[in-house]
Amino acid sequence: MQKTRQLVLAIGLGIAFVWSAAFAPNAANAFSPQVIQKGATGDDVVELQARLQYIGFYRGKIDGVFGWQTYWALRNFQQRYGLKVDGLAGADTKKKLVSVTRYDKKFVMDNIRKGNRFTYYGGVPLQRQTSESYRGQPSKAGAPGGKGGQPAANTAKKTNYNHLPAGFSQSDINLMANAVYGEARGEPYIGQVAVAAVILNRIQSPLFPDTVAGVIFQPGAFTAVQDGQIWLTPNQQAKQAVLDALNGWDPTNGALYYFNPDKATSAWIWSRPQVGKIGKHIFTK
Amino acid sequence: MVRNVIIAVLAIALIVTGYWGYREHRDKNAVLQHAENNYQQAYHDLTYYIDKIHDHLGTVLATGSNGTGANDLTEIWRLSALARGDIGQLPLTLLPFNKTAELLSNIGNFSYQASVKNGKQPLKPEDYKQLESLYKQSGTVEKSLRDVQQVIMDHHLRWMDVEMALASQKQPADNQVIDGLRAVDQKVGNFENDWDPAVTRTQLNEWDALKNLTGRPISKKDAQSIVRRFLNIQNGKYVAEPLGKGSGFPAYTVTVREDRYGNTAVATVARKGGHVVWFVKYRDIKDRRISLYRASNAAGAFLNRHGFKNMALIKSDQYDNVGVFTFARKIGDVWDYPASIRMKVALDNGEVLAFDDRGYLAHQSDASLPLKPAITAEAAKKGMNQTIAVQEQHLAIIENDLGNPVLCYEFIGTKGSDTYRVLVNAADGRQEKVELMTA
Repeated sequence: MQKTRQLVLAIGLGIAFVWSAAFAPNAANAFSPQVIQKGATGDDVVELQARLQYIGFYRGKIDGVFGWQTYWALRNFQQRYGLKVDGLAGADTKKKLVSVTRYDKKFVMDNIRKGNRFTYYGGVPLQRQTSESYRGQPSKAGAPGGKGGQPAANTAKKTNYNHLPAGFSQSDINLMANAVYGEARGEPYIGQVAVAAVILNRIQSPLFPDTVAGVIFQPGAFTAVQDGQIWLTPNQQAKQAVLDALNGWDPTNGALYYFNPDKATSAWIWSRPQVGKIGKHIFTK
Repeated sequence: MVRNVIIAVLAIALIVTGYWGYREHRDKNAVLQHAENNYQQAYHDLTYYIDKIHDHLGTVLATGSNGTGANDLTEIWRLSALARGDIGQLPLTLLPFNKTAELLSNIGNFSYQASVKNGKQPLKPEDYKQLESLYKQSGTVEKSLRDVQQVIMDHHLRWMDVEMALASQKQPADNQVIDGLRAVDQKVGNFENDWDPAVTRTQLNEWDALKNLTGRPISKKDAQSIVRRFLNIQNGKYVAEPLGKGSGFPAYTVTVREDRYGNTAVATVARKGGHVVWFVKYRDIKDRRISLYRASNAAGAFLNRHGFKNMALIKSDQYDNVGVFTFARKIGDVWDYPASIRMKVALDNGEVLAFDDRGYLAHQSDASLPLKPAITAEAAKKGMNQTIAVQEQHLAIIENDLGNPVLCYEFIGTKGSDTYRVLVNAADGRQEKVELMTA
């Protein structure tokens, strides 16, 4: 393990050396001046991962999300090159990284936009490192946009990096955004965060099911589920509200129920201890 | 002639409409029947599971937790989860059925603690007392649910009607199912529940812990000026309202409207001591101008400015153009994880857009824990899976499964491409938690 790694490193370094000698000015279009820290997303993270992979420190997926694997790779790099080991890609680290690696921005970003499976190890021809050639279907490469691929992602100018709060999947977030939009699309932002927070509080509570879907589809729990409004397409604001709730904000101060006082006449719901009113909804425990 | 044609056409139209109507009716009934059958199954399953839980509780009482008793407890744990799943499928959200759901949850937690966590240790006398009580309670619930089941079967009652009755505007007073279930819940509620607080604990209890805050009580006016200082919004309209009884702790909600920009910020301020518990400000966020790193520095500076000293950044995440940061209090070199503060910072100008320190406020007392580990880090490491390569380690306070703060050695290590967090109790070397770090 250690041996192969060193071998890869040595080969990588050797090739990097040859390359950097041949293309010396390539450092010009490297990293933006920001310090990159764990948890960050974006093009700089892609470059960081690609460069670390180039010399064999990073073996994960180049996805533009600075997670644990990137963190350890960066620290190992810093240690190997005698830099301060802090897990931050600051000026010195980036300079060193740029000087010992080569970054083919077009190749990497194209693959990310197309959603290809690819790697970026130094010393291996690039054509052999993307999923298009993995699949071995030269006919597809001829058709731009690739029918089997992701045509929509190609057109988007900004690349989106999928970064999720721990413990929740993209579909959980989408489902919650649907529920929030169906239930509270006319409400102020804080009211939408509140509805999302109630869903999360119910998951926490022993009185309710323990999953996002279990809580949302509990019979009679949400009117938007009963009348099908949950299947409207949510807007960006609803998604943002869900993300805020998932990250721990709870404008309801721990409420489990809410109702619209103009519509709800169930005596039981009125008898619950109230916390407060946000927008049109009264929140209760 | 014309008349006959018209009659014929109308007759055909009538027949077609009638057939169409019949089909619609049939389809609708099929859908309703399907829903009804689902409800029926859920209810019958529920009663069956509670029967079984009752039986197994009885068996455990006779055998103790080691040996066959442990198997029964594990089975109870499994059955209670299934029973709770069935409750979740019934249209009971607006019905007072809370106590029963809570009972099931307690049975599940108890059996988990007693069997899985305790391992081979025999049950303690107080556990027996609790078992005894659970046995009695589940017996009552079992019988009452069976009674309701009998009524449903005898009178061909439908759950669809229950759903309609609950959804309708009128008081659902004369529905036998509803009345029956309400009675079940009342019976459970009549038991004196002397739960170990740990059994019923959830993270929601952090809100309740806020009632233990101390300090001089503040007025509405004070709440407004506290929020004004905190958010630094000078030209805003401030409105403060006291929170209702349900909040569990006395507090004000302060709303700030910045009409000039159309922004709104909302904050909750505890009445005792005037602590800001959380705030959220909403505005459009422009394109990213600053890095996550600079934003985390801005968040740290904000904390410093408002008197939160010795906070360590433990987690940072970027979501498009906002950064979310978690800070934990440091007591000496111990990281007090439950005493945490979360912040959201806009990456266009570094403004703090949201703040939440309820963990920090609720865990003030952690500082009085004994913070001297009884065993060395090397000894703690021995009990770990040796294939995990430890990369970082420090002392940390965490909340264990019972909701108690415990001093642990925290080891962050890697195995293959995965990163793990292993928490080993610093007093006795027991592994409290092992987590796979996904983000």
